[in-house]
Amino acid sequence: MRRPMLDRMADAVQQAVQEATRLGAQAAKARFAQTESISCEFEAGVLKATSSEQGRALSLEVIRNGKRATVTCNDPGDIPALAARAVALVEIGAAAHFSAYPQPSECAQILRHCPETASLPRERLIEAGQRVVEGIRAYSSGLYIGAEAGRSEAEAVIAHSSGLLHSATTTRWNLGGYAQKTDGTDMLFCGAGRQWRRLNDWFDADWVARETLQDLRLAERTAPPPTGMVTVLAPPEAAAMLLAPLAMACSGRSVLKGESPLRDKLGEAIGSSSLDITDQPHVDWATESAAMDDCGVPTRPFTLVERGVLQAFMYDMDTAAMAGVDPTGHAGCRPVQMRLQPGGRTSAEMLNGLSEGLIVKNLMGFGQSNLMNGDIAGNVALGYRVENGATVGRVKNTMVAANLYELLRGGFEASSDVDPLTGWPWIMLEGVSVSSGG
Amino acid sequence: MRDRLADALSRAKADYAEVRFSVDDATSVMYRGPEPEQVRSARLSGGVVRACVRGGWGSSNFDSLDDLDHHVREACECAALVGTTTTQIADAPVAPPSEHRAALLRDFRGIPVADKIALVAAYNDILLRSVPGVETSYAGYSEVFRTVAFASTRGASFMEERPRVDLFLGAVARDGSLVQQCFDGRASLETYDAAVGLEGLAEELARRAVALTKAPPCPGGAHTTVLDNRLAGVFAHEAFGHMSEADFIYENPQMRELMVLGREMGGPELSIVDDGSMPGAQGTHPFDDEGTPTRKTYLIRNGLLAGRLHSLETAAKMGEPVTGNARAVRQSDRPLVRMTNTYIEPGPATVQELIAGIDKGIYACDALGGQTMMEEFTFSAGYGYRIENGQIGDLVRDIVLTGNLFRTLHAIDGIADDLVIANGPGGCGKGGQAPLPVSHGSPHIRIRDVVIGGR
Repeated sequence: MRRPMLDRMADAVQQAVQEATRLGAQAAKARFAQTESISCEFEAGVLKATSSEQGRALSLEVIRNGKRATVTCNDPGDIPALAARAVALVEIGAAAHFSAYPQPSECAQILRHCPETASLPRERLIEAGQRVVEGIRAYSSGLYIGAEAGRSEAEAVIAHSSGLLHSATTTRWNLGGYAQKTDGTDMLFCGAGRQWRRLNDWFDADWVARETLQDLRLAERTAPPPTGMVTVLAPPEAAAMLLAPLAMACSGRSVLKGESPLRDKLGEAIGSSSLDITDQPHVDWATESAAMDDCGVPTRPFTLVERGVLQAFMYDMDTAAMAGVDPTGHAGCRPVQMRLQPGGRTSAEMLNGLSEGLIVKNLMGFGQSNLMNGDIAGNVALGYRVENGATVGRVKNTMVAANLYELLRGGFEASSDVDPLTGWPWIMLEGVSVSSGG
Repeated sequence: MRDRLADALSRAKADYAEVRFSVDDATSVMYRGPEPEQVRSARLSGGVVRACVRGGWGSSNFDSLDDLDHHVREACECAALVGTTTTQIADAPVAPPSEHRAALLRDFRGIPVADKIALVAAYNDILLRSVPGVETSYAGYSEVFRTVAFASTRGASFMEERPRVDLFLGAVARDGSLVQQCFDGRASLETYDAAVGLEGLAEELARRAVALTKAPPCPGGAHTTVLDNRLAGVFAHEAFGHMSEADFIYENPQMRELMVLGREMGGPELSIVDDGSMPGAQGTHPFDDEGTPTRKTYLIRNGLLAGRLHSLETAAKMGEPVTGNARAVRQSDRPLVRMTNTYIEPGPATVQELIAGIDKGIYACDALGGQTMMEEFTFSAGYGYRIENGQIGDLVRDIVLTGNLFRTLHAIDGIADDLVIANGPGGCGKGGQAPLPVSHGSPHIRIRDVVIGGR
């Protein structure tokens, strides 16, 4: 399908690169992205707001004499001025450890644009949000219920001075809901949400309501948390959060700067032999999938940890040049879509085999810990005590603390069942310190 | 500009409508380790039209004024799709047609970017080289000069220049596989000089990061804890301030019952204030992003719940005075009920008196951040010390505190007389909008039996 806006954006990025080069840049790269979206929001169980959004951004990176600088605007009407600003700024720019962008090469074809998502009407979003609200309200009329639904379509074009011209169009929908249950000073917050690029059966208001109701029912009883060194079970969304420090430590830049605790562990065991972690940027319809990173380097499936052994770090153009390696397709030295390999037992079997433990669904304050060191600490915002293979009640005023790398070397297990959208399994971690305020 | 916005609004088919449009000129520099890692400049414009029809809200955001009439129509149509009841907007004072130019004591726009890079490079050198054991550094400078134009169908109309300069410093030390980090910085709406003269701070951060690699973790459990000014300010913001934002309360009968004005929240010495009109602080503006004048609001006064923070809608629906706390972060964000400058008022004690009364406890200092889920909160100290027999003892690391708001406010049993308002980089996050410039402050406070997570 011909997209006139993409053609205009392609002209703009090529013009920006040519103008920067004409003004003396040794290399230049331009990226133009624009997004249009609509959404609706329910508050206190009623439709509160609907909105339309649009945005554009054109950024230009230039390299000259070992330095680089980036300028951004959202008015593509004056590209000569944008290029002139970039070339002036690069004189006092950041250190550049490469002088040319790579020659264009083949990149993966990934399904990312769904016409049905792009044309999802506002009425259907409102209908889905209303169904979420009604589904949760079935539990109790005394709940404070919120919901939101939206869809967006984005177009992006990237070009650089080594001849790349690459464009992508993507879509995305999101649907979620939550409930707040207040009883005196006791408050419970729970909810669920999903996002995906293709409009399919996963756009399911009943699923959102079911997930929320499940937590409302599990939390009806409270229980004292197990304290001391405790085995923790984390469902997929919490598992991805708990393993996030590993992505930080595998950043090529963190390694080169000496701050990664894994910087000298390449080829060494950092976890149990059941630990396999990859980056999977080519999953059709997944929300973070990308054929090319923001440096213009093709992405590829990438192994970070195999059978517990650290295999590789992630490098962008600049850090790859510093390290003397090829860039790995990781702009910003971050994974595109980190995945944990599933294990042998189902999450239900893992729970059944647990005589005492804690399910952590949501951790408050996680980002405040010393994540670079692998420290995990936070208040259990939503969690359940486990006894003899069953949840017996919600825990409150409970803190967990652990070091991720110690946990990975100890008893660590991933479930065989995974979240169908994120691909993440449940995880079980032995030896998490749990404190309670009673 | 303001006339153009008002003209477009004159055709709005809504009970209430507003438009905000801003242009940002921003520059940032970041060192990480020995080299500058980022030098960026941006000129971005953006805005939002918001409309209310029969109590339902619609909005349309954009980055160019080229088709403003379309966005006004779109916002009104979105609102008409939603509303089924009655629009309730407080009948409050509005920003009169006015222009508020920045009165910078030293304007960062007149200083060459090369000089700013040299300033950051000098700090970075101190971070990296003043103390053996520092592995790497963070040193960043950013500035933004935002020009905001606003108009509403209530007759509010203003232009405000909102400059801001941020200086951010960090040291990372390492001992074997143990990595410790210390961060601090300064921010100002008034002068570039806030970023100057911080060599001592850079050296202190380097020294502390190295010392933390030798310090033991803080023991977990319940401890009587003294919070320093910075951490107690974060406590006031996170643990209580968010609970006072009326958009969490106004449509929730249980929360309205829980947070009824006059409720006893703490001891008679406890007073907590939000003040968006305080000179020189980061959350200060003449008007909020609905065109309501900002003011000082007591949230807790002498231990009793005394007020809360409002937008035009929440004030009308709760029948309470407007406070000028509807604020947006990005150019196209809709305003939410947010804090401005929030602090605990000073008490009668000295810091020494707070510590002298503790046989065994923790002195928790500085803040890495905080988060709340209303009833429960958590925040992290940057570092701390043991307190033993009324004396400050050894340095400890990894201090993450948590608690129940209602119990913890009642557990404050000492408030010192040394109020300090912190103006640091970063800001507050809510509803996907961050970082909102805010200040928070406090004297030292003492809290009994704070739960600290530890291994």
